[in-house]
Amino acid sequence: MMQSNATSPAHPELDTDCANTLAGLDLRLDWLAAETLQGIALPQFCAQIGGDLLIGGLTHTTAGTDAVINRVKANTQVVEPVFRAAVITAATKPAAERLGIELGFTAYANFEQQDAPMLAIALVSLHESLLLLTLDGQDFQTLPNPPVGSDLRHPLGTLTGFGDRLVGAALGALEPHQESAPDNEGLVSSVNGLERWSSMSPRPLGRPGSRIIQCLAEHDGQLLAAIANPIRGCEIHVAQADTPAALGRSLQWRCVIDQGAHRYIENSCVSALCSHRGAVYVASGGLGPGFNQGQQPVLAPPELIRLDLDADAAGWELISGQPRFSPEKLRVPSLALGPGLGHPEMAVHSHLLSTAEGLIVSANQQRGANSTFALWRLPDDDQAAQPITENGFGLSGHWLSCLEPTPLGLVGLTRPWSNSADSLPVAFCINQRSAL
Amino acid sequence: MSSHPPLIILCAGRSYSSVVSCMLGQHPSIFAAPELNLFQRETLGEIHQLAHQRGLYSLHGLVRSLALLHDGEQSELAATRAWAWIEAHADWSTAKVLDHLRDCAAPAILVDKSPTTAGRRSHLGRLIRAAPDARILHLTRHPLSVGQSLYRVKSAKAVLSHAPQPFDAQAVEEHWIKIQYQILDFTAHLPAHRHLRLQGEWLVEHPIRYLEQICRWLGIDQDAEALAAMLRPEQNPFAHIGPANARFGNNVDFLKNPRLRQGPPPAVDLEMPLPWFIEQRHFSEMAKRLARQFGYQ
Repeated sequence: MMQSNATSPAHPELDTDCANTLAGLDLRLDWLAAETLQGIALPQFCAQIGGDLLIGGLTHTTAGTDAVINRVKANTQVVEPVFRAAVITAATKPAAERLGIELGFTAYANFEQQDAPMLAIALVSLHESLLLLTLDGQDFQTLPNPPVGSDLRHPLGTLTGFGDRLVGAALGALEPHQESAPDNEGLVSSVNGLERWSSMSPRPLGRPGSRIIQCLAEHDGQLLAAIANPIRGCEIHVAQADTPAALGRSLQWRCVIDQGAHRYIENSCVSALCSHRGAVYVASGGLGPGFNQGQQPVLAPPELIRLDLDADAAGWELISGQPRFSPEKLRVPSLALGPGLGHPEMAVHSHLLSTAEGLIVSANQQRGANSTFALWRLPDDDQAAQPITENGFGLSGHWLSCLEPTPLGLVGLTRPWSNSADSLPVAFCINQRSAL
Repeated sequence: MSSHPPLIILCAGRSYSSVVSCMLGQHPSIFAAPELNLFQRETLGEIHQLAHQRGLYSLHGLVRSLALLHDGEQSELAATRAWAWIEAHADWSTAKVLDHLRDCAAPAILVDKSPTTAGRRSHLGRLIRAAPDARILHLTRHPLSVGQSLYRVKSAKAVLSHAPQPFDAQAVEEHWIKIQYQILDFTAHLPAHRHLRLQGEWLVEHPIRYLEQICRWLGIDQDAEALAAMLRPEQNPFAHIGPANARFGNNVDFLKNPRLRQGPPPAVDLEMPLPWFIEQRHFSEMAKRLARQFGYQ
């Protein structure tokens, strides 16, 4: 286990309620040492490769902003920087300010390439957006981004492993626009050692008004693409690759839910997508990945939907959210919880993770200094959501930016809403108490 | 309070509320009152005074409800007694009046569909204080259809009155936006299971499908007999012109021709020019966004 640093002022003492909650769930929380995040002011991802943990994010320098990756050795707990690249320099700072969005690491995915586990990380920069590949978390191969949809080399906004392929979709903007045609750039997948890329959709996916592909996931040999649609509500499209050869060409896609499953643009976005125990879980709401510089999103607390893709006609169930009428039936949440798993003050379900003990669901508020985050575990019987924390383990003013199952346990990285120099990100790790 | 929680229909005017209310009222477990207009003021006396200023017709729904609940009929005599009851209980809070109606209607669920309720935040505040357990049905209609309907009515009134007044075209959209935002703000603070939104067009096109779902939500019978009765809004006691001293309470056009016009919704689009403007105008982005939130395109 990592060194804990309970004396750091950034690590609050757990209150009795929180400690009892964790004990009741047979869970243990450890604050990770501040060194884990050394040199990283804005953590953007954590991932595992080769039994170690990689943490990436941004750091501000006098010249601009750099993207940094630290490797945390699981067995020795030694932290070492393994990658650094300029994202914004003095020369590009004005352009970055005009852009008004956060650059850096936008996506990552574990997949197998020629039977070897590999980690791919997308880096968006004002200099050169890249795809980083690593087998060991130490050495990184950099590739230019693939052409997506056209001959432009788009930065990637989402990645997933699919068979022995890496599948990616372009980063894009969420603003609604008048044109009725779909406006995402489609999907690409890698072929043969990542030297060649092929399109996985014959044309931009989605219904009229759809924009970017926000999340990708693999489920039981099927590839799922979640598409933001700020005009009609989010959509989920599914394609099956029955044979390895099928992966080399465009797939046949079918839409399994659209119109934000009838919550319309209150579910314009999909913030997370996860295959878990034979079903696919969808976190939807008004917020999700992508650039949103113009119009304010419809602020609707998030919902959780479960897709059953094995049914003769794909079906879906509302797990938590707003009850509603639908052409099929009255939709009431199976957990009998409203949006935000009963916490309408939550703005987004930022992460969904499949674990042996159940589905882990996170939520972030978006209210600045007083905001917090929450974590729940949903056992597979659908009886109740078990809160792990509903007050960010006492970390007021922080939101959860990363959550990943790793060899160290379930690692979470938080970011403070405040930009002040003394507000630092925090790393924690959750494990089964009885497993220690 | 032992009676079933009331169902309050919140909507902008011209949003199918009369036909929907009369359909619901045909269920044996529902008493669907015509427009009660209770939440505009704190006391019944103040409501009565307001009606004197703006037109006594705004109390017709309350009078007809009291007549039927107190005397079992809507005769002129029963309505006269109801008017007297209103005067005699001028000091009652409107919350107490609502409780009285709930008690009289029990064990049936009281339904109110007054468009004035969503007209001001203060009205909605009174509603929740009077019925903190209320269920809310947010009934919507495509804003273009709402505007067209309003325009038709206003134009007809202007012709009939021989004193045409300028139609405030801009106000149509502004009013619709204001009402919808007030409903959204109000329902955002309610538990999720207590408020549902329904496109009126869906209900008119597939009434059995959605009436069954409404009954399921309310926890009342969904058997074929009850649903069949709900398809006959014209048989509702408040679906026709009332006695001479309380004639209205629902949309006048509906009262004159009370039937469910079942069928697909009209082909309207948010990008169409607005017919109530002389010059070519379109909905604002705010209106379009709000309409899309309700599933309209």
